[in-house]
Amino acid sequence: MHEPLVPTIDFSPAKAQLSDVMDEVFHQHRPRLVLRHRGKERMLLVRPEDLLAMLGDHQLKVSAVYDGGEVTLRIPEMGLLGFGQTLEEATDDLLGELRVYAERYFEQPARYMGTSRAAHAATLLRFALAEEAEQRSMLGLDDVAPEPEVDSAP
Amino acid sequence: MKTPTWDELREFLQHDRWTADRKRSTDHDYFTKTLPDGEILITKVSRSTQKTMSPGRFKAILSDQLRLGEAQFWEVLRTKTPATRPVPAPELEPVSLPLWLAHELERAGITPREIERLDEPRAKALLVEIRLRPPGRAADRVYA
Repeated sequence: MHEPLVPTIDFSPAKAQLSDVMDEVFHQHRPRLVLRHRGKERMLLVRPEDLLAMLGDHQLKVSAVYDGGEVTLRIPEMGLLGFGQTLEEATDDLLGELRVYAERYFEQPARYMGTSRAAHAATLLRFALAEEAEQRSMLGLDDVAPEPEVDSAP
Repeated sequence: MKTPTWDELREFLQHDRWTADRKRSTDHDYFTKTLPDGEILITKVSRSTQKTMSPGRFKAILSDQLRLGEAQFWEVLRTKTPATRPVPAPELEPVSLPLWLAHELERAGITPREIERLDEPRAKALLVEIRLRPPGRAADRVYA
């Protein structure tokens, strides 16, 4: 195992000085790697706002199906659907679905990390840590719409 | 396309051996199924038991959540035995628009009924046309 590049602290002193460790992580934005059993077990302490910034943008690819007076919003890569009679209702429903999925995912991460759903972890963590308005913006709904491509062929 | 009631979808899940999840929303129940390769499928069922759904919604459920074709869905209900996955011909994805595009069209005054008739190229072309209109000109209606 190579030398950690993030500041480390052993488990026992970390436990004894938890208040100081938290001050460093929270106020000084300094992540800490806590080591146990001579570094065989490690965990990272990081301020959630810092983690959000580190995770960067994770835009969800959402598409809308209009049919028979119903709106269905899809995130095909996650298999999530939001239902409603209007776009607004379907958006709220999809946000609810994402919250249920994130809660389920982080309750039993081992169950999901061994499957293709492992690829959802970073996006879901980003979503789970975000404020409500930011969760909504991850759907792309409130973004400035890109200019549609115009076919320039004659 | 024949579409099921929510009760029929619930019955399908029972025959296809899905497990009811303890998570529930105010008007839906959740179900999960773990495939032999470990993949996890998740779906939800409305408690509006006799209500049916649009073909577009049914296609989205089939392709994104049940990972089956329409024929396999009805076959499970007929035979009361689980489906065999992966299926040779999974359901084609429903016609859909990127969310930003649907949102922009609604903001421009295009009604959901009109958006329903548009595929993505036509929807993008309509948005270009709307953006090029002189200010104050009423939106033209969309004709099939």
